[in-house]
Amino acid sequence: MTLQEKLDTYQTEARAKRPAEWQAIMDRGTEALRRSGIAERSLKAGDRAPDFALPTATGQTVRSADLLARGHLVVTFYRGGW
Amino acid sequence: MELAALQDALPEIAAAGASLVAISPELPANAMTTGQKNNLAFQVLSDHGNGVARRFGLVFQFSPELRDLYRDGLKKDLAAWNGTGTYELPIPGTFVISRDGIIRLAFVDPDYTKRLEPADIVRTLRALPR
Repeated sequence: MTLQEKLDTYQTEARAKRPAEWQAIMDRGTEALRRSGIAERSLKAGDRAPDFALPTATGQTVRSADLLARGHLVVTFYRGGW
Repeated sequence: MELAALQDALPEIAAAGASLVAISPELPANAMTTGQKNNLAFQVLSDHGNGVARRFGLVFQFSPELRDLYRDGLKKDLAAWNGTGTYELPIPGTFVISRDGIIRLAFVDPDYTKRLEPADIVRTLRALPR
């Protein structure tokens, strides 16, 4: 199964369990975000990636420049593990 | 689910000459919990205040009704979890950056239930010069 298939299966089950009112709020949130044009304004292929230096949970600082000195880099932004 | 799928793809990502990091606005201690919960072998970085996500163009605010739903209905107080007092989050986005610092693949979707397939990351990396 692809990641998206797993996510879709999970979402179908979650939607069935969620109160309709909650689902409506979440759908309105996604729709507002879509209309805001944020995805169109985000960085695209061909753009230069911003440099960053961020801490790990153990207080070590990770710099994008150090990682790029060793090879390519995949960066994924996620909302949180909550 | 996404982080676990990336963990599964980590050997292929490394074999294609790349490193992988995940970035979230969680406090470092909460990012650690996320990393441990998923047995992640890659770095989970804490972007407190979303400064880096903002430069990638990913930051938005929850609407008041969405904030109330998460805080009171779902019992997820993101303002406390992130230690900012705000309901400001990144939309999920994944970027493949070649070693010259240029973004080669960008996946951003306002629908938080959509994610880039790890196979697409690996395919993009394999097409890049080492």
